Amino acid sequence: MTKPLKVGLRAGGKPPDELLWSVHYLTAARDEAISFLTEDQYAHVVDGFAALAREPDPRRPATQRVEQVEDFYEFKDKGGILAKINLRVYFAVLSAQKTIIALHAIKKEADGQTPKHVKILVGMRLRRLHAGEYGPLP
Amino acid sequence: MATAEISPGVQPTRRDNDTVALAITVIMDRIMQLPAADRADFWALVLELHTAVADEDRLAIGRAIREVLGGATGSVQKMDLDTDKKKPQGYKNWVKVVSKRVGDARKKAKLTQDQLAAKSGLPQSHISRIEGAKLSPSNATLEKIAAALNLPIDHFDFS
Repeated sequence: MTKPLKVGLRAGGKPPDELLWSVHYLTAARDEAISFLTEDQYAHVVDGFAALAREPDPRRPATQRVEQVEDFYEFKDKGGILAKINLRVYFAVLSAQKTIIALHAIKKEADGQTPKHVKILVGMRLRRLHAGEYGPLP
Repeated sequence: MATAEISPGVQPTRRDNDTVALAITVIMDRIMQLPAADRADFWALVLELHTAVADEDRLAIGRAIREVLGGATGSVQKMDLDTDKKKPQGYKNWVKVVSKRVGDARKKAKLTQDQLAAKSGLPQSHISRIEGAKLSPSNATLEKIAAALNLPIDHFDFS
């Protein structure tokens, strides 16, 4: 007779590291981010997107501040390692592909509404993304 | 491409005028070739430029206009989310300090990670990663932890 297999959770074990979403970026957005972020700050932002990728719904995350702007989303963070930088990263969620795509990054001087020119630029990049102008969708 | 500047107060020469006329012709040609949606974006950005006050906004609008006219550049790349990847030293220093402060404050409040997760609305695995110095927490996360432990945010965010 074979022994029954025991399955259980080990208390104090390593936390689950499952990424539910993949994360991509437009190279233009990455270039924008590294133009005003240090290497340390960029690593922090990557952590923020990794945390989003572990969320069941990155549009309504528990761990990050995200707001919907038209048909894309605004990731907001400030303080801590970002110091005086009021960071905004605009991203799209491609549900069918389970993919998050960062489209634009800025540092904002003050809290408040998303500037209209930012909405226009991100909307255009999103349209071009869907049209395959940056290459095939992930 | 012509780059000569026309100084203020100096009468432009015929050559300067020819350069400006050529530039306008090229831009008009680009505008006419744009897809309708891009053309609408172009004119919306021009209107924004007209009313922009801050230099920062004018520069950003200028870049956006050039992007509309220039077409899509760059590509889509996958973000490397490997948590075991070597991190920069300043990041490691920050994460080490903030992870200790979160862990110490939780233990002082006599809460388990699960209890802090329930009080803060954060996943337990997220708190575990912070305390294990595996990630740099966002301002949103630190605000939730601070509120759950009845501490000011600057207890964790000492920037």
